[in-house]
Amino acid sequence: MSRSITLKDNKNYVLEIDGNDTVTLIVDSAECNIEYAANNADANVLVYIKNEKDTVLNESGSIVNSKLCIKYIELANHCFKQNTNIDVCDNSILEIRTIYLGINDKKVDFDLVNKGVDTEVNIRNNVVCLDKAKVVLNVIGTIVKGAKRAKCHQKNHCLTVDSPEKAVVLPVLKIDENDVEASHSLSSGTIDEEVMFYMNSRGLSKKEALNLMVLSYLMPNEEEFNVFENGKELYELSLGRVKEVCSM
Amino acid sequence: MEKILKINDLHVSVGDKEILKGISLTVKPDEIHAIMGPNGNGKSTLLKAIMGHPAYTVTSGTITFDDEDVLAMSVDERSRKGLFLAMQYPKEISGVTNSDFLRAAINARNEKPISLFKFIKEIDKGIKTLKMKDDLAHRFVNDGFSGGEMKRNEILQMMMIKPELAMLDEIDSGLDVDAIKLVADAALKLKEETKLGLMVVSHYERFFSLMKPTHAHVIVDGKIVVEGDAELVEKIDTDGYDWLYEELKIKPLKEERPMVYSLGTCARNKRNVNE
Repeated sequence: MSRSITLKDNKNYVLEIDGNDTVTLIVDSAECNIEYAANNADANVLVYIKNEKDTVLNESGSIVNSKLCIKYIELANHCFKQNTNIDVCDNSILEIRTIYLGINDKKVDFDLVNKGVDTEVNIRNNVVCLDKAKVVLNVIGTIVKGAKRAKCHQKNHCLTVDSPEKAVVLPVLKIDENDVEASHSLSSGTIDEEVMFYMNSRGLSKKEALNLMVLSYLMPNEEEFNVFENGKELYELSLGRVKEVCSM
Repeated sequence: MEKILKINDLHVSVGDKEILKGISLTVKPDEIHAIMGPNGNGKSTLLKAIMGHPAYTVTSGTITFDDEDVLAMSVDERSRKGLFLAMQYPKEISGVTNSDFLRAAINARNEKPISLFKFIKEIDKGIKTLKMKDDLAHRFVNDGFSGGEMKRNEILQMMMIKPELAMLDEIDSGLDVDAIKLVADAALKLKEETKLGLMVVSHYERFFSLMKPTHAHVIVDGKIVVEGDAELVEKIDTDGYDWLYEELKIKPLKEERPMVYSLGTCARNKRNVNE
């Protein structure tokens, strides 16, 4: 099954998933609450923030006996707040992949909980923070007592264009169980002056070079989008958006 | 009109240290200038200053290309005007593929973007000429390249971009005998086709004997101390620089390397420990 849902008018939305599913959620309202309820599912979800004003996204939910991959794309011009709290129950896998382009201030909190046995949480955040923005990203992986054989891994990559202190990324692991596998990592930095010189010396202006760097840093392969309904259009839209922002 | 690079009494500093102390040089199209000299005496500095590396400050002197003030241009403007620097240590840009990078570089200097068909044809031709691997276009720029591949990639970029004045900074070091010949042939062929002017920095006579320079300059302690032609290159290859030092009563600068002291888990760089 493949479906695309546009969320408007500050509604609460419950996304029930069972079986194979791909869902495109297009957020087009100032405040949006999403609740995930996955049971015996194998699903891909793409959350695309389309709203052109300040946006707050609240997410909660739990997944049981399921595999859920959620991709977030936020490239808009406004302030953005996100709060995501998902419980991963028995025999479940949760994959989170984010693409955030900080043009304006952003605050994102993830609290992902390994609640049951044989659970797995994989997080990969890619953030680019442009000169005017300030980005705060709190990523908490929690493994509760009794969540045997739980796995929780997070990778955070952050690229700042102007000064490195504009982006704050806090990877956190809270572990209350012995039989677990967990890791967290963070890479953060600005564009190397030598790399910039190299690209400039081939005739690319600062903006063109920035565009190439940001695209390479943020955008995954096109194939990752093709599974979603409207995926191709959203991919093209995102590329155009990055280009537009970098040439400003 | 011929595009001529004119350098007049160029002084260049890095930090507060003066490296170039008055260099004057003119490079015309279709000429090959060999730049020689002992290590650490300013050859690479000259090339980087012409290209506009941000760490190198021009304190006095002028550089003009095609009668336009090069020093007033940004690095990318210099490139679009026709200057090209093949670097001694090319940078890795992981995440950006060679094909995206080269296409962006070509499109930056043309009003109309190059057609995909024409681009693929040209890059394939270049890859064959330089005997590089077929998957090159899809690999990230210099990421995981061997030393020889990086140098060949610089020449590939030069062939695609078609500059009017190219500077090759020790392009032959790290290349095996066959590859040196490939690179020299490729550069000479491009020169024949486009009347490209070349400035070549190298330590090895082998490369110069292939390139056949029309002019030669030796830089010692930031100044050109002797100029000549291919004969001078040969003489230096057989006799070294010592005769020069004696004849002109000059001393070369010693190359400085940062010393690394290990402080347990920390380490720091300290320069100029001998001073």
